Amino acid sequence: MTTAVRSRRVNPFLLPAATTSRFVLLVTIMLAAAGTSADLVAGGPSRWLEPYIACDRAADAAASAGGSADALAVTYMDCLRGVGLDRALVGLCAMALVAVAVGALYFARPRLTIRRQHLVPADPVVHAELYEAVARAGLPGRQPALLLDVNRRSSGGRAFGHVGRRYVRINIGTLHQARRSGDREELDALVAHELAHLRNRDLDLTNLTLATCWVFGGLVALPVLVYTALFQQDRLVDLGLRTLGTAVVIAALTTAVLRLREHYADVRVTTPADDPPGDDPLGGGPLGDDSPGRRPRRLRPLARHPSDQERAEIVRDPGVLMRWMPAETFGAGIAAGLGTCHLFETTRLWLDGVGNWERTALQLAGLVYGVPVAAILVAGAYRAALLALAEGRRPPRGGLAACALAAGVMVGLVAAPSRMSRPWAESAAASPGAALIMAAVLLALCLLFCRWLAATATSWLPVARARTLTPVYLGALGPAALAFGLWLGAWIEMTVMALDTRNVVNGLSALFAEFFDAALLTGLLGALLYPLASWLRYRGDEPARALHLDTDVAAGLPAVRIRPLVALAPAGLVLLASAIVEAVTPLPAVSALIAGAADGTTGTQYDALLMRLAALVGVLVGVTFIAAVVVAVAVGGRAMLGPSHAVLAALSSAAAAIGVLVAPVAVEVCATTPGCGAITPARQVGIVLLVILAIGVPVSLAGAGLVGAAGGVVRMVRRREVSVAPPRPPRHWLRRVAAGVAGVSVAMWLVFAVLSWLGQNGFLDDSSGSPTTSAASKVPPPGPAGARTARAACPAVRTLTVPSMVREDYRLNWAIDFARMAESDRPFLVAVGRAGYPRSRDHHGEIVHLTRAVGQYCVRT
Amino acid sequence: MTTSSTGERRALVRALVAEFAPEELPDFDTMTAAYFAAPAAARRARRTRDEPGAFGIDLGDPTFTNLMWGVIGGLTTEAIVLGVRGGRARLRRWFGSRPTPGPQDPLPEAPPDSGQAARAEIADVLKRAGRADADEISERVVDRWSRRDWTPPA
Repeated sequence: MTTAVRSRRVNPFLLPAATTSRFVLLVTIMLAAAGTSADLVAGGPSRWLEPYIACDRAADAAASAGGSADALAVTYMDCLRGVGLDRALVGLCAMALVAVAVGALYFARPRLTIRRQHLVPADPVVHAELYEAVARAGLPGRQPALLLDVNRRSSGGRAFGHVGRRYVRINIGTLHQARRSGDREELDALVAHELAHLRNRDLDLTNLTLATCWVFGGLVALPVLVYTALFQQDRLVDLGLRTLGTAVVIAALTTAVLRLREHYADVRVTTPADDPPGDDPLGGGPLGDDSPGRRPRRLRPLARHPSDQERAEIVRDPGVLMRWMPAETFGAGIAAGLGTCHLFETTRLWLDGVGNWERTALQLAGLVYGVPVAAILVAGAYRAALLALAEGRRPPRGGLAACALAAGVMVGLVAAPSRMSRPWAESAAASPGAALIMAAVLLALCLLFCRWLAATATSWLPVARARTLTPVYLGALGPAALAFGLWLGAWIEMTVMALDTRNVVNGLSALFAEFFDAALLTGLLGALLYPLASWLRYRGDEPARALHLDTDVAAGLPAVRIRPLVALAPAGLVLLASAIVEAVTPLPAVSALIAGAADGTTGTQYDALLMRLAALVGVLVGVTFIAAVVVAVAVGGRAMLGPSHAVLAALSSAAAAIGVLVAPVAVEVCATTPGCGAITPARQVGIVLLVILAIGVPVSLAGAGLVGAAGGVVRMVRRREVSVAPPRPPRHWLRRVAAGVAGVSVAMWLVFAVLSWLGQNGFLDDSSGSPTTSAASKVPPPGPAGARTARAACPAVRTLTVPSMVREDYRLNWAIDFARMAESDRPFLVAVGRAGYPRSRDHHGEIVHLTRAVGQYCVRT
Repeated sequence: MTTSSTGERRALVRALVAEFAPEELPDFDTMTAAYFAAPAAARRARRTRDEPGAFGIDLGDPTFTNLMWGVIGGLTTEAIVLGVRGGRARLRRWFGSRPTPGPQDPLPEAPPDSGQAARAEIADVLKRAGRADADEISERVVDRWSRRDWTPPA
């Protein structure tokens, strides 16, 4: 678009204010810091290692005295759970205490302010001009109580209060100046500004922000420093630096909230309802092409008050408030890294005995912190996208925000409790290569996430039909929290594995294995397809909005072109081609071709069928890749929706290909001994869907990425005019049919995903099947005890490889591990290893409680 | 020339307010009551208030009434102190720790030969408060006090 459009003042009130985002960030970081600080202090110099090691020693002593390995494992886990309960109580009580204190201060502050400043109610008769100014401002709803500071001569005022009690304080000098000069303009401006705070509903935010800052200083930072200085002097530097760093972040966020509320109030005062269009709110002439429009490049991070220049510039260009601030995403990253680890450490032992409890605890912790972090990130992306769309610019790509997010997560981890035997920083320093690679993986994940946020905002903002854009923003929180929280948890777990074993292959392999987790895949699938769902809402008659403050003309946001039918076309082609081949040949051609190739292999019929299945998976990958590339080329990379289209194309094509190509072979495999075992049909379908997703998503993203990169090169060479014509809305019946199909697909997927997740995480009992023989029976028996160190015997040092995870079964791995443990120099490991080895080797007997106990014990070897 | 002291301070301050800040007169009673009800809050009005407002930061600028009550209170204390020879510093501390006298307290006689010192002290206080007309006001205060004239201006 043109300079004339850029110079317009974009309306920042269509989405939740940045003030709210930063307040959410402040509260999240403060609670996480309170819990973490309490955990670090209460953990003592050993960082809770001593009580855990006491449990280890007790278990070794009990094992030396003899006894059942099962009883030893149960007693050991009870001991650990007791420590975990203490730890959780410390952390959660600290968080609850500061939350209660913030709430109490929130309610007490207005009264304290009135008392300290000795504010008196304004008299409706003597100070009638004040009441008239309030009436002229036209604040709807309940009016605030008007108070006077009768000691101050200068003009000034402040809106404050809490729920149910709103106050506006005016310096009495403001009234005196109005009387002296006979000009009430200044009084009106002051009253309008203070009432703008009420219209922006930021009184509670401000009050809570100040309360949070004071409570953090008084109840967290100061006690931590005093206690450490008195009783743990050797940790004073460590804890002092952590506390100081957190205090700086809290202070920066507090000042950011306070500054932003003033900016939003300034802008609110100059909205068209209060100010005639075209009038300069600063009195410097009409805004428009002649206004400088320069945005301040640097906002002072710790300044509590915005400078007059900043205020003037932001009133001229409110778009500054809608930028995607890297500092905000950096803070969100800190909250995520700090909070997720702490919550995981304090709650994981509570879930002991509930399926795959560690993974479940990490996913829950990630989700708990994923919600507020997603709220901040989504808000930033949506504001920036709205600004870009309103100004006719390209949507933001979020590269800088992604870098800041990744950096914030890593900084948060450095300050967070570590489940490893050493703190995060020491572990990373001990294996810098693994740390760097896992950091690169995190950066890649953050880049993808921020790119997705921008794409989601670009697709959903134009189709919003509600009065404000807030419902659209809230709608994105669910997929964003799932996508971010679940994957952050998985990345943390894998990074722990890579750093603890000093083997980056372990981390990457396990991250790949995590890709098959049903919950992760569901979150990922929902996030990837969510932008396309906006097509179902697009009617072409979306309400126009007041996008700009200096004009009464409402306008709609430009909708992006979404083409789900193009994305589904490859699947239709696959089905059509299969039907034709089926009709003209006795056997499906591809299947027959592969069957012929596989016949030449040596081995059993089962092996031959597995070979055919593997070949068909290769065909499947090819089909998904071609479909993804073709669709990505067809829809173009506009609005960054190419990957979403490619994923839909790849998954639907993969499903079609599986239905007509792989299913017959899979049925043959299941009919052949040893077959599919005791897996229920529902779980079989779930596994197939997971496989489709696990293959289709990365393959389609890779294809779309290739197309996008090639398209970027082409665009650099040949600049093409972009069509600004709005896309044609889908027909009503088509939209309804698509919505119905999408709803049924989502419901079906959820059923199978839930079943798969329950099975994957041990919530479903799979022990009903008959014992089977496998490679586990060939694992040699353990040698004498004392031949290995505990670290060498623990399963954590086992090098994970993809083939080992895909090919071998759970029992085989544990048979090897138990045999090693039985040769260790620790009595507890020897007892558990000797009990677990025959059960794993023979596929007979419960070993879950043994593996859990060993997993915990080995953390500290 | 001694007259009934009841209300003399109030009358003097009111007369000065009427002369130099007439716009404050309608709120004179309210401001006076607030000054004596919360002297600490009144003193804090001279400091910067650490919060942003519509017109920037409130740098601290007490009302004329507030200033005059402070000036008169200080001067009356000073007058009593000056009337006592010896132990001045101790008495100053003692008077300084006493509660601020009320508006109805008697106004002592202006100490003889203290006009110049009082003028300088008043002007200093007012200049620190940012009053451009500090000298004129100090002149009027000393003049009215020495003559015990609190007739409001016409």
